[in-house]
Amino acid sequence: MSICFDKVSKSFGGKKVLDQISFEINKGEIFFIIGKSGVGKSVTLKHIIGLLKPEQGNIFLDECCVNELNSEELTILRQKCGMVFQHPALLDFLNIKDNVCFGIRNQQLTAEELKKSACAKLALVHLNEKILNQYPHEVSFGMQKRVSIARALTLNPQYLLFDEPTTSLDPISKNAINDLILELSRSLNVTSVVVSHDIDCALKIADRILVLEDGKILALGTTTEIKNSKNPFLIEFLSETFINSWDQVS
Amino acid sequence: MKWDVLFSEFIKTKLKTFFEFYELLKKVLKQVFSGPRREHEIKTAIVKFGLQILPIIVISTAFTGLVITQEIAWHLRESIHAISMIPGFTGQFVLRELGVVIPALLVVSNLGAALTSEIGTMKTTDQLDALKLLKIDLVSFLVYPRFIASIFSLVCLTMFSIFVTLLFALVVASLQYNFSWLEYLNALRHFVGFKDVVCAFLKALVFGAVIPLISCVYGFNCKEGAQGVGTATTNSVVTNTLVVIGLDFVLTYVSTWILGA
Repeated sequence: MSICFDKVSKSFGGKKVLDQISFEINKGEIFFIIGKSGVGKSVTLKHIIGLLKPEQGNIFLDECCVNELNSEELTILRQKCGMVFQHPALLDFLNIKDNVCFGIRNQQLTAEELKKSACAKLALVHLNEKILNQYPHEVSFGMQKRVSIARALTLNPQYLLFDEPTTSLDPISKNAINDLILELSRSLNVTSVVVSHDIDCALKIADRILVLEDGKILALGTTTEIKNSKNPFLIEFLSETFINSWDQVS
Repeated sequence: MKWDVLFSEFIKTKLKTFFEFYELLKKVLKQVFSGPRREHEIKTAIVKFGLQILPIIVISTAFTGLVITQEIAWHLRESIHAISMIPGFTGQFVLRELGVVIPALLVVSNLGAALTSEIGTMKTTDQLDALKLLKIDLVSFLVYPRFIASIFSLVCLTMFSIFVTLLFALVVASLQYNFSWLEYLNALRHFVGFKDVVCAFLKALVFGAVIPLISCVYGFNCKEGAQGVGTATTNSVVTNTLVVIGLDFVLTYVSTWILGA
């Protein structure tokens, strides 16, 4: 096991977003967290890297209790993680090269080494070096997403966390990003945790899927187990999208 | 909702903001004495803070100089039937109040608002979280350079605005009330001194330190969405304006007591 949630609860303004949830994520797997809007998917993801602290329960990352770490320890732990946010979250005032290399800019590297590193990371997400000197607003939204993935890879993380990576993308870009998640996870041998509404994508690339509903775990299992679940809420939730996607996969 | 509940909510929110301001001030001061220098970011922020607002300050303070001379001349003529004290009254009013407060309020409405909306937008688009994950200390990277740049810029802008206001006051006095430049400057010298300049400098220093910190506190607490950014920016400008006016009173009182200015 590499990530473990142990009876984690979290509320915002009196509303319980996570209610005593417990699950484990194994090393090297692609783990999807799906559910309707507002059920606590992104909140779950942010707990993994200590951007949020639980009210109850513990979160363990590599046997280390994340919620008990101080800010310095958290900074060290976060080096193991790369996160791709719902927004590309690129810094507007930096060009693509500086955005990608932002995490390693204090490592005493020469300008040439930084450029080389940026090119290498951009190549991993299938972008070429022509965009290095462009600013985020000068490239498409899909490209910005890819750049944000490249930036997340800069510190060679063991964990990749994706928060709605395909939101606001056209179907072609969506597929490309999904393929990229699969490719990176396998080729770099990292553990990927993906928060998504996109059941198509989950069925296509996930090893296991966690379904959240009203802050509780509705289902947890492989794609086959999820598909065969007799839980009426889950059947309703997956309904048409699931069936269509399953047909495509099989 | 009852008025007492609303009032207690308001007080709670303001107290929370004050404590966050205090915490941020502590962190920034720690950074000033022990953190990395961040010279490049500071220079960039000074150019942005100082040069961007310079034309607005020149225009505003020039008109202030024109208006204030007219007003003071009218009052002097009405009350003591003499206008010989125009330079002294103008000089004191500009150095003690207008030359300091007008640039500070312009900085609030221009750069303070920009800073809150910039940090607020960064928050709502996950850029702040992304920076944290890239091992970037938000105070060191975002607040500290702007804090130093704001202090430096506001002190320079204040001195410049005092110069421009007095220059235009002198122009009106010489063209409309027949003061020669030497006569004006000589009269001015009797009324304003080094203490007044020190007082103006200290006020600019305090305003320059407070404005970016309040703006950043509101930016960091920004709620989701465009409305959240808008509300945070409005609250930041309102709070900054009230704080500048309130601090102006306190600093005037203190400087009168300590410096006799």
